[in-house]
Amino acid sequence: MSDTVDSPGLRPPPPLVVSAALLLWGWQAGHPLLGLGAAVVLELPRFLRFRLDPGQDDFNRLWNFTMLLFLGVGLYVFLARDGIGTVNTVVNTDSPGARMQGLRQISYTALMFLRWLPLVLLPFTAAYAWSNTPGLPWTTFSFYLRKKLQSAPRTPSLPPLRVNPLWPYLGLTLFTASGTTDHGAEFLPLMTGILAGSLWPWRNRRFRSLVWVGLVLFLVAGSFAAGPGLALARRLWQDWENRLIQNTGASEFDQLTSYTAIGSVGRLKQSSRIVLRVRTMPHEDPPRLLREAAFNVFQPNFWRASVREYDEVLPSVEDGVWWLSTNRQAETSVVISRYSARGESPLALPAGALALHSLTALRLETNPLGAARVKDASPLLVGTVQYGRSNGFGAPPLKEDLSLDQLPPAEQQVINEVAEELGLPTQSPAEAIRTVQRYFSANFEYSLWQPDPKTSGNSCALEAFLRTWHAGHCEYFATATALLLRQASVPTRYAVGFAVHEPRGDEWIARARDAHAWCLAWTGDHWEQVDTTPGVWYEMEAARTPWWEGIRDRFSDWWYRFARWRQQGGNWQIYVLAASLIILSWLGWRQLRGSRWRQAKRAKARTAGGSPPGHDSEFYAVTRRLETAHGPRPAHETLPAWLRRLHLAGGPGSEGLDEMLRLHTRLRFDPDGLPSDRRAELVRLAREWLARQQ
Amino acid sequence: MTQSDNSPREVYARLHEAITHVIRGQDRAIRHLLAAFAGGGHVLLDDFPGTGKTTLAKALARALDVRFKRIQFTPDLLPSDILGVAIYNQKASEFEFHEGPVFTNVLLADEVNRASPRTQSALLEAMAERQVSVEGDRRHLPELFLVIATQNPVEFRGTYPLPEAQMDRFAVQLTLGYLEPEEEAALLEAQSHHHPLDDLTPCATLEDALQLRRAVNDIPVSPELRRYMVDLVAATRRTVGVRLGASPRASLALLQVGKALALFDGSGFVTPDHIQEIAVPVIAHRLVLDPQAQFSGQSNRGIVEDILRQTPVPA
Repeated sequence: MSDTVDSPGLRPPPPLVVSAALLLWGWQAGHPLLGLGAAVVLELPRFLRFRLDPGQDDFNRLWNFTMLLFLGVGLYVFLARDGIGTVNTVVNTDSPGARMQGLRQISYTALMFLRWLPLVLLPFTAAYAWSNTPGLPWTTFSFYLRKKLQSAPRTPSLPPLRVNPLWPYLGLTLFTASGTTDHGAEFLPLMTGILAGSLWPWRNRRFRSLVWVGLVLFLVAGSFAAGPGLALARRLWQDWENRLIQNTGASEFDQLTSYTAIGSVGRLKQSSRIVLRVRTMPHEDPPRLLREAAFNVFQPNFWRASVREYDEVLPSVEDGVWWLSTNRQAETSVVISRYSARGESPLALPAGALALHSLTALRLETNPLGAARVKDASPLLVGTVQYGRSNGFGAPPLKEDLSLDQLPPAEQQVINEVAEELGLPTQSPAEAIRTVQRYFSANFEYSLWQPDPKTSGNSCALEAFLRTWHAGHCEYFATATALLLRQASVPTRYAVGFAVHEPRGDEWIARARDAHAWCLAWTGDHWEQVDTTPGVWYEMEAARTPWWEGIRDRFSDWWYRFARWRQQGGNWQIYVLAASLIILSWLGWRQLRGSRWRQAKRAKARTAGGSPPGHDSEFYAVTRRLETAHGPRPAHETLPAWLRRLHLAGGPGSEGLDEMLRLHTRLRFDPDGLPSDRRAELVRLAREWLARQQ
Repeated sequence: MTQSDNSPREVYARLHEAITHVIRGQDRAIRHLLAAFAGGGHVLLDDFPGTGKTTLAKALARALDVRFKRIQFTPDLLPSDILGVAIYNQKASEFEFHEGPVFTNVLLADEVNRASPRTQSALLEAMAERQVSVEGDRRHLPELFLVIATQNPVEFRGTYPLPEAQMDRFAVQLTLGYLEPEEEAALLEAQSHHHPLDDLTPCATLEDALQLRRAVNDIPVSPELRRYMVDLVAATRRTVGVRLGASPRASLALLQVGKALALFDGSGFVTPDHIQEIAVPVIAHRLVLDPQAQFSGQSNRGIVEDILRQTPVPA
């Protein structure tokens, strides 16, 4: 309230400055007619007397509506330019080029959104320009502050700072006008000129206007000269940025990671998140183990693959099937679904996997150790795996599959001793496998936790596992089995993947806690899965089920169905956009329905019906004539006070006006109304007065 | 006392003339005082010492041929000093209630903010409901009951600001202000021998006063203007810087005092000018401002004037 129209924030921008900014914006955005139209809308109030009469509440509602419009336009631009796909690419891809392209796409989307902001904010700004409101409080632009003031009226309030919204609008328009990168040589001088024009009222009056005009002209000329320099600087910056990105990308781009740490599985075991879904043929059980990877070199604390190269598998030209093996005698098939990360995912395949089809990925790679992975996969990776009992696509044994060279002496000694105790070196592969299975089954038990804190490394832990604890989790069993069998000259590999044992609906699922490790043993003609981990581990893992697992599973099911629907062609973006627009429209209607403009329309309708009395008074023709001659009557000033003021200011004399005003006042505010003869007198006086003014 | 014309408007004219004879240069304050009186409201006179607050109240009391009591509010004043007290009569072996000064037609509460809030609160029920509850009995006050309170805005030591509930019970708060030099010179001349108040004789009876109030009640108000009053009052509740806005009692006071002004002017109905004329005296004293607003230089009067400037008036 203490602000006046003379406050800097309330003073409107100089004439034509906002219009010039809008024209510049229209030119740069490629929509000069829109810019011209917006400029006309904001400049017309300078030449017309018509004004809207919104209250603060109306402005609050209109601002809420404008924000909804802002969100709606933002959502539309985001979805229309495939914002979700772009963000997904930027987040998930490992390709610096794809990421760079995605970032550029996002920046273009942001620029496109910014480009329309002057039109989004135009209704609000125009409503202000077409009213006599002397500035708006800052709280108008903050839903939170307004709610806070309403909910806590007794708390100390912010000072009533007010602002003329044309100023922020001017700044925003200039900002969006500069959003394009291909400015002509005229852009910078024009921008400089508009900025100088907007700051003109704030110039220091100590210096003559001529000095300021000269300075502005100097700046405009300087901006002409600076244009090429800025363009050169921008090109240099882009070159440097490209080099920087390329260098950074080269040092980070290495996705061929074949190492695995044994202990890392323990973390996965804590989670009950559904990782895999397996759909089998009717009345068939799923494969018990799904292998993600196999490793053949054991070093303290981790297994690694001796072969790090992956070979790409191309789909058959005839039927589009990815054949993993020359053996094409598949016995059955399962459909496996899982979520890919960054567009890539390892494939969890059953032993004897021969072919893949209906795979929602573009590239498939395998390695000789029997691991497969996909690239350029959809977020939900779905594929049908055909498999049989014969050997799958794993290569025959390599020399590393028998090696114990990497084993530390202590570990090597204990493996030797146990193998000797079991008589493994003299047994055939089949006998050795059975011996080892019996050994672990009879003497070991499953445990999720090792009690001895001193055994932090796997080397020591393996020795303790075989000699002391006789208990451990699957990694210990699988590692020990693989190493013991190698003492029997049986080539072995260490396999990791998932155990599938839990049905859910018409599918089978594998949770993160079902991550498992086992051993692959070469029996002479194929790789046999040797899982020596006691079967009780399922129950022990399931006993750690959190209470919210059921809720999470339900959400997981819903999300899975939604993802399947999306991938099957559901144009969900249209539905999201339509639902969002409906919600935003409803919210917008709620904001505008109680506004004074709508109520004013109702009041007009009532007037047409004959009430309230006196709105058809002939005196209004007199006041219109007076307003034409002396300016509009302020909305808060009563007619007598206004006429008195005009009279004192040398306006119309009181002859005839006093009596007309008296009759009009009675017509308007006396509930008993004006008698017909007095009304006729009012009509006569008004006509005579108007005739005298001709 | 014989009066040739006892129409309500004539009664007002006589009262106004009589008081003007005593209080010079305060036509507007006298008009508002009488409007509050005719509208059935109570009056708070708030101004600097020596500006004629007490004299104005006494002049109205003397101009009316009604019972008049004055209470000089002091820090040791007790509620029973205002309301009355029940004293045991040994002869009759029962308690007898001795009415306090509140049982009158016109009560002058002089320097009302010098009494403690406890004593000030004794007037709450009397002002709002024209009754007092003492010793478990409800005792009605006369049909014509007017409280004229005075207070000094510049003294803080030994005073107690009136509570918001008490302020809300005053229909109007009036300030007199200092006189123009010519008026003050005339005042010196008029009081050179004796005080004009001594010459003042009643010019309206109790019945005249009651008739005046009934006539005010009969003044009609258009629905548009009722809405305008409500808009003005409601605007105080959402104005930034106002911690406590005006109550619906302010709307009622605006209505009654506006009707009284319409009667005084002989228009027979309320006009927007009547409402704008009385809006500040009726609304401003009811507002409680934020400390921040006060420190930034805002005033109750300025806020109401701003609201008047921002609220479209029916025309």
